[in-house]
Amino acid sequence: MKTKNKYPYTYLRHFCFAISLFLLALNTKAQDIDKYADLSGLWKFHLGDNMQWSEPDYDDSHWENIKVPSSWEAQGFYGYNGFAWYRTRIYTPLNTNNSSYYLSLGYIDDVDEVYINGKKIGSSGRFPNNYTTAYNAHRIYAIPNYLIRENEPLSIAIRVYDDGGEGGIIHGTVAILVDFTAVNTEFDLSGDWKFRIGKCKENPQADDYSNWDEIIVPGAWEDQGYKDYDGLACYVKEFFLEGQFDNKRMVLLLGRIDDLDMAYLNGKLIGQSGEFAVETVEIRNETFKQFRAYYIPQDILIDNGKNVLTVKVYDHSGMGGIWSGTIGLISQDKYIQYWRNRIRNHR
Amino acid sequence: MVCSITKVQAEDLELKISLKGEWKFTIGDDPAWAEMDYNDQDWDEIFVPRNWESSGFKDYNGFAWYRKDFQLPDQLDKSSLFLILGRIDDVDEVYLNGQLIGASGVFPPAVITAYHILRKYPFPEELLNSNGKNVIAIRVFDDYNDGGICAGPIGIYVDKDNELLSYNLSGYWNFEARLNKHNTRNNFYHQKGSIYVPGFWESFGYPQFDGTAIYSTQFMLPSNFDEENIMLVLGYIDDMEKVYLNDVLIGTTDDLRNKENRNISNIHILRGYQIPKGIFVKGGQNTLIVKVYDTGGEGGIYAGPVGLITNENYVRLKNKRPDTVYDFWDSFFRAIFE
Repeated sequence: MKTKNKYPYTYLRHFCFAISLFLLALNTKAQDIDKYADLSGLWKFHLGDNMQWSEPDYDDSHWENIKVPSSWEAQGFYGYNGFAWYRTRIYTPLNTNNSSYYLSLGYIDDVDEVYINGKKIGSSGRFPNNYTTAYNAHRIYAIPNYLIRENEPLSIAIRVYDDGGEGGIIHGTVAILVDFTAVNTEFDLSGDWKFRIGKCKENPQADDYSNWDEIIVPGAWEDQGYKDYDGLACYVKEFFLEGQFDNKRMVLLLGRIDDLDMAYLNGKLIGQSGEFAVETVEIRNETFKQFRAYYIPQDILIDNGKNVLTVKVYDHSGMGGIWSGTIGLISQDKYIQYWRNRIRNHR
Repeated sequence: MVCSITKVQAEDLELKISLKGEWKFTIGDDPAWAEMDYNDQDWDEIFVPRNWESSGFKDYNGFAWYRKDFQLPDQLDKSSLFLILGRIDDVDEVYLNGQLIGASGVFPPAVITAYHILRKYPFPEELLNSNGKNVIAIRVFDDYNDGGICAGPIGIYVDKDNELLSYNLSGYWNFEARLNKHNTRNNFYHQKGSIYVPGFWESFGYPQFDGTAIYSTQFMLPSNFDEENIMLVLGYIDDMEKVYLNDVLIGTTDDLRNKENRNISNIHILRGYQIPKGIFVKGGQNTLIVKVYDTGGEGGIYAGPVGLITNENYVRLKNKRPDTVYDFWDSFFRAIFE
């Protein structure tokens, strides 16, 4: 459902939304999200484009130093438009058992793609030939837990494309954030999912979704090539279990979803946030902030084999999709423990 | 949902045991937690009634269970006890000593809230332990915003009005909901085709049902039964009904309209029906059928007392609760249609 014609100020609304997201992350949830490591300062920088520059072992010692955040025009690259890469390493130790870290990069002009230890973890806007800018999106990317290794620095590489005017990591918070509400899942489901806009079946087959787009979850779809899209969309994730949960009662965590969702595991509806309608969004006016945690009825999860998780999402306006929070499976016992600890820490 | 306290029907309920205070509490869901002898020692304590967000479970939505045990005083008459649990946000299932005694709303995945219904469940005498521990276990699901047993009276009550009855007809009645394409949800829990009277049918397996339903019950009268001076009281009904005794129509809601209650909405009129002579079967079985039509929202024979009553006691009952609720819109529409 395109709302563009209904709302002539789409651009303004998006801008407001980006601001409110930023506030949500840093102010209203101040007790839940905190700055863990400041990353502003000197980074390595190189003009041009080469996918090998994403590799953690790439030797960038001959690269220029550049101040982040700041436009590259202000750092001696006046008049340059096009591709450039930023690299840095983080030596602050991250807790490997804690899937709660986010990489905040502030505002990037115009398009970026972020690699941690050589693995793409997110992107905003679209590179040419389908160029779209995302200069007004505040970049916050979840750092998948499996990329964090004890006693090893975290390599960050950012591919940036600037179409005109100022370029680079311009301003805003450049830091690692830690989310104290994050849950340590026992089976991580963040990362690459299959995605498409529009309707889909409750139980799509591999043939149906094999040629769908890839999307990174969590992350708003606006930042991943679906700028200005409002309406229905489908996410699919295949995963394999090897008997590790032994028929325990399990909970599916789907983070925060903007605005409404229906989650199907192996074709069965296991949870939803209300009917897909504008009225539901109005009644549940904070639905986009609500953590999705669905208790999985027994006998639906295939404990030893392939599972298919399908999430239908309806976005009324502004940002859309499974946009932040913990994504994965946790046993009910551990989930109860998580809430007890969380309450103890808050009291 | 946001907890709300709406008007409670002014029944003459007397508190016997208050259950306000600390209950055992955990998030999560497991049928084993309904069992009487489940060990809940390591559960949290939580104050009831209060939404769980205010007790630290901020941003929690989903399943949770409450448990509490209590003893019955020796001299308590256990024949017409009720458990009142105030407002529960959004859906609940209540167990007494491991047995389901009531439920409101629909659990996931297709949630239907019942946050606006006062939870009032019968407390069957046969399930109670007179000399020992009794356990109430409550399974709650919260869909969004406030959750839990959030507000209102919490305790075990007796309906004083039942003392005025010559023959108490409250209990499980036969029930048939006329389901149509808009009313296909029917997850009856107690026994298919039966319902507890009085109570909203939303609390007894028919969440979201609007339309026509047929209640029926049978009762024996002694051969020396004196039908002089006896009438039928059906408490309060949402919205309208037709009443048949032994296949004879003895009255409808419209028959109860008179000068003194012309400005009162249907749901606030105390139902008292005169019974024409010769209809009662003395020394045999009588069949009472009540066809109820509900236009929307909650429905059913929702509040007591329900039974046979002498004319004098009916006047007493009526005087205890004058029909004083004034519904502007109801009188407005009535004025137009008359």
